[in-house]
Amino acid sequence: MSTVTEAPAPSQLAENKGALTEEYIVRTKDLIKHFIMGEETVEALKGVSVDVFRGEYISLMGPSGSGKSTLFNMIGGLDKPTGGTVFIDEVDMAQLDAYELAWLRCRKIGYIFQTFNLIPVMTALENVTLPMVFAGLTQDEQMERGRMLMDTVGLGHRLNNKPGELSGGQQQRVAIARSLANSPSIILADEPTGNLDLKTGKEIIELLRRLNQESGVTVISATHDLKMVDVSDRIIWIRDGLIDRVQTRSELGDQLTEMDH
Amino acid sequence: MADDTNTTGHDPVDEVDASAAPIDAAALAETEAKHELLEGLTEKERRALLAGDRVEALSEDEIRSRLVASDSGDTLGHEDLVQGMERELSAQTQVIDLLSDQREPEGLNIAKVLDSSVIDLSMLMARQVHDKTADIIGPKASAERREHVKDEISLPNAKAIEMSVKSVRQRLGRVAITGSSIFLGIAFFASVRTTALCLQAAGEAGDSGEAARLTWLIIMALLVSVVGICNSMLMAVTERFREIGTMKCLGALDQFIVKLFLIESGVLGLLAGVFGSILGIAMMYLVNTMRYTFSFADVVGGFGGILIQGILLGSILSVLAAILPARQAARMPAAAALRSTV
Repeated sequence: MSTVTEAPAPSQLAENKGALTEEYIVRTKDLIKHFIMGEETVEALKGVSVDVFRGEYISLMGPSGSGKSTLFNMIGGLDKPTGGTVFIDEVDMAQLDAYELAWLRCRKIGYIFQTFNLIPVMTALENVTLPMVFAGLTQDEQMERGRMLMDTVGLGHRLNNKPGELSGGQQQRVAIARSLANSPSIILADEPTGNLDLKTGKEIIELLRRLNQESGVTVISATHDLKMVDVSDRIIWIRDGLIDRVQTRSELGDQLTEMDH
Repeated sequence: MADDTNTTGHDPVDEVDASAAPIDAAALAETEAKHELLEGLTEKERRALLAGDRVEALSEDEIRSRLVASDSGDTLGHEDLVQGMERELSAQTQVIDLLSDQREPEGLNIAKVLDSSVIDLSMLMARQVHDKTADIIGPKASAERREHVKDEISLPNAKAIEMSVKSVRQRLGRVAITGSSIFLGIAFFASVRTTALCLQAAGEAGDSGEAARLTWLIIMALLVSVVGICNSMLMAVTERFREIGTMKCLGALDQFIVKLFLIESGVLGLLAGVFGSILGIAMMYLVNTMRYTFSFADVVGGFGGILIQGILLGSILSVLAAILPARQAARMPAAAALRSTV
C-alpha cells in the first residue's frame, strides 16, 4: 500500500482548511510493545492500529494496565515500540534522529500531564515561554505570545506567580498554555483531570474542548474520567493491549439516552 | 438602525475633520512630521503610544515627549496597551452611542471585550505553518531541510545561564548543602595558602617537607570535595526526573540538559569559591596575626591571588564534578515526565 499522497501547494492548503480536517494526523499500525520483567515478557500492546484525523478530540479509555499509557507514550514519541509503526503527520517516528524528534516534540506536539509538571523555579510566564525559547523565538515574540496564551487560559493576572503559588486547576491551565506555545498540531494529555477535583476537572475539559473547536488542534487524551466522554469525538477503549471498541459521539449519545430510559 | 442614521456614508468624525481649518502647507508639513515620528513603530506600539488619541489631535511635541517616555521606561507594556485599547474602545462606544442613540448604562466591560477580541483563537494559531511535517523531518524530507532542523532547536547560552542562576537562587537551601563540600575544600585551600603567605611575611619560612605534606592535604581535601559534590548532584538528578523529562517533552535536546546542569554547578562552584576563599583568608590572617608579627600591607597583595585561585579552582572542580551527573540527567527519558513516583 502506498502511503505517498499528492502534496497540494501551500496556498491551496491554506484555502482548503476544511479539507485538512480529513487528513490523518496520527496513525499507528500493528503496534506491539513488550516489556521484559525479570524472567517473563509482558505484552503491553498486542497489535494496535489507530487512525486519528486532524482536529479530532479523542479519548483513550481503559483500566490501569490495559496498555493505554503505553499506547499514549508511543504516540508521543516517548517510548519506542517493539513492533509496528507510528506516523505523526505522515512521518514515521522510528526514522527520526534525536534532533528531529526534539523538533517534533517542540513544535508539533503539546504535552499535558496529570501532575502538571511545571518547572517549579520558573514563573508561570517563563514556563509558558520555555518551548518558545527552544524554538528560537525572540524575547519580544515570547513575551507577547506568552501573555496572549495566559490570557487565553484566563490567567493573564498571574503571569509572575510561581507554580507553588497557584492552585491545581490554575497550574493545569498554565500547562495547557505551555502546550500551545508553538502552535502544535496535536495536544497529548495524560490524565489531565486526574489530580483535580470534579469542578476544576470540568473546567479543564471545557478549556481543552474549546481550544480543540476554535483552533482546530487535535486532542488525544488518555483518561478514565467519564466526563471526557461528553466532549470527545471518538472514544477508543483499550483492553488487554488491544482495541476493545471505538465509539463515536453519536453512538455514545444513543447509548447514554438508552441508559437514561 | 445604524444604517438609517449613517446614510450619508460619512463618519461623524470624518465630517468634523472636513469642516476643520482649510488645508495649508504648514499644517500639512506638521502632520507629515508627526507621522514620520511614528514610523517604524508596530501597530501595537502606535496604539499604546497614542492611548486612544488621534494623531491629528496631538501636537508634535506631545508625540515626541511620549516617544521619549516610552524609550526611557517600559511604558509600551501590556498595561499601556490595555489602557490604550480601553480608551480607543470608549471612543468607539461613544460613536456607536451617537449612531444608535442607545446608551449602555454601564458602558462596556473591558475584561469581557478583551476576552472576546484579543483572545481570538484563530489568531493564536495563526503561526501554525501549513508546511507538511513530512517535508521538514523524516526520510521524505530533503537532506538539506533535515540538516536545517538542527538549527531550529536551540538554547542560547545567555538563556541557559539565566535559567541556571534562577535555579540556584530558588533552591538555595539545597544548593548550600551541595556546595558546602566544595566551600569547605576551598576554605581549606585558602587557609593553607594564607598561612604560608603570613609565615613568609613574618620571616618564618617552613621547611620544604612541610610544604609538600600540605600540598598533599589540599589535593586530598579537594578530591573529597569533588566526590561529595558529585554525589549530591547525582541525588539531585534523580529527584528532578520529572523536570528533566518535561523539558525533553518540550523539545530540549540532551545537550541542553547537560548544559544546564554544568552551568548550574559552575555557578555553585563560583559562589563556593568566593565565600570559601574569603573565609579561609580571613580566618588564617586573624590566627596568624596573633602568633607572628607582620604588617597587613605585606600580605594583602597576596590575598587577591589566593582569592582568584580559589574561585577558579572552585568553579572548575565543581563543573568537573557535575559531568557525570549531567550525563546521567541527559539520559533521563522524556517519558520520565509521566512517572508519578520516583
